[in-house]
Amino acid sequence: MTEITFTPSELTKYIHKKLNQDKYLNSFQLTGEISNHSSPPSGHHYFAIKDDESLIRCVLFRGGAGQENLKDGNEVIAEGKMSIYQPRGEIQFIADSVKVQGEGSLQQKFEKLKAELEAQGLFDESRKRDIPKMPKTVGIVTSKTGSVLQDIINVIQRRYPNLKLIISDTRVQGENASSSIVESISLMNKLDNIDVIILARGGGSIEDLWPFNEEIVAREIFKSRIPIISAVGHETDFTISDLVSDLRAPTPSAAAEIISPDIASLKESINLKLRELNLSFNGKVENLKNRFFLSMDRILNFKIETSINNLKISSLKDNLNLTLDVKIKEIKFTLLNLENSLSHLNIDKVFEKGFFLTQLKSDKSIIKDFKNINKGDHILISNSNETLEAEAIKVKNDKGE
Amino acid sequence: MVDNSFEDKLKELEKAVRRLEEEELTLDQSKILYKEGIKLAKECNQLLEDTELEITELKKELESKEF
Repeated sequence: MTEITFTPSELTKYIHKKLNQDKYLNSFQLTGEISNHSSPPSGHHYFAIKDDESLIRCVLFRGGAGQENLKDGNEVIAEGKMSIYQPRGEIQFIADSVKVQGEGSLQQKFEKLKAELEAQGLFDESRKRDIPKMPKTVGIVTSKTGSVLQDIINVIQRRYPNLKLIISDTRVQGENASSSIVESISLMNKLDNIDVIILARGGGSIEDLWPFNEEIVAREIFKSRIPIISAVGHETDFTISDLVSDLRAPTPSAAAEIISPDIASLKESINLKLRELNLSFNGKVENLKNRFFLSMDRILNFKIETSINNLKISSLKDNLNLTLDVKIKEIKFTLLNLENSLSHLNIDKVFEKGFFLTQLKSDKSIIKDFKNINKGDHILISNSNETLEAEAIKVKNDKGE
Repeated sequence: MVDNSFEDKLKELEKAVRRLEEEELTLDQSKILYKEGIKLAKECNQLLEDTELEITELKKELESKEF
């Protein structure tokens, strides 16, 4: 058994004290749906805020803000604290103000401005400029004291120290942050050597990041002559700045990587170019050499072929001459022989020697012997131009028969 | 000399390689391009070796007159 005993009034007082001391219950927002709203002549408003499972009794005293929002069914956000109504021992929420949910909230403002600026073309993809791949000078708009700047410097130092950074120390949170951002961007645009601006801030609540959702910041980004990379908050945070900027980087370090080519891969690409250079030059020389040698070959071959052909032709000619000579001699010789033979055959010469041609008159046959010659046969005895007709009288042989 | 930066040299180098690869050049022209390319590559590497991150802070009070 416990030894603590309360009377109702002691208990309600104790609860009251506890509620007042509580870190959260002393000031917070309660959100849900209005129900059972009543407004008696006292001017106070009694209602409940509920969700699907629970219901909390609430009161908004006369003069509290947002009385017009107290309609059953409205989704609201009420700001106030928990208390206990001592006469009845009921705990209740004492509201200082009631807003219809969304309206006036940062999220609502964000959506409203986003829609407006979108309609005005501030987010158009077509106006986004390319981020230089190898900038020489980079402007950084962020707080000099935050870790964000150091993160950016570290990344660039590691990847591509061949850069000039121009930092504009800027308030990125709280009052005047938006005008500080605007001023920095505007200053950077007055310099003529900045290739790209990184607008950066570390992670935080929507309130922390709020300056990057302000219209003046959006308009200044839009106006900037220099391309801007917005790197605000964590990867999951989206701001109006992200939308207007030429590029959104998920984090400040990522932005630094985007503008800094990796020095190691740059060196690699230089070596690659060098190899290509060597290759194509050597190729060119090799090609010329080949053409030269090819031409030389052809010239030499041509000469050799020509001389071989010449040789062939002259030997053919010799052959031909030789053959012709022989033939001609042969022919000449034959002709001579023929001439000789013919000269033997010349009948006149025979006649000159006293020989005649004898023929039997009856059949004109040449008489080579006298076997068939009979007494009384007529015989023709001719030389080249005369003929004598004679008659056989007596045929005698060697024996005189 | 500021303008003759690493980026410009790298671009020049790339151009030299492209011309050497694509164009019908005489041996002399090729030789000049080749030498030029080698020189550029050396200078590029040198620039990367020697390079150091330069950080300047913009003073809002002074406006941009310092720069």
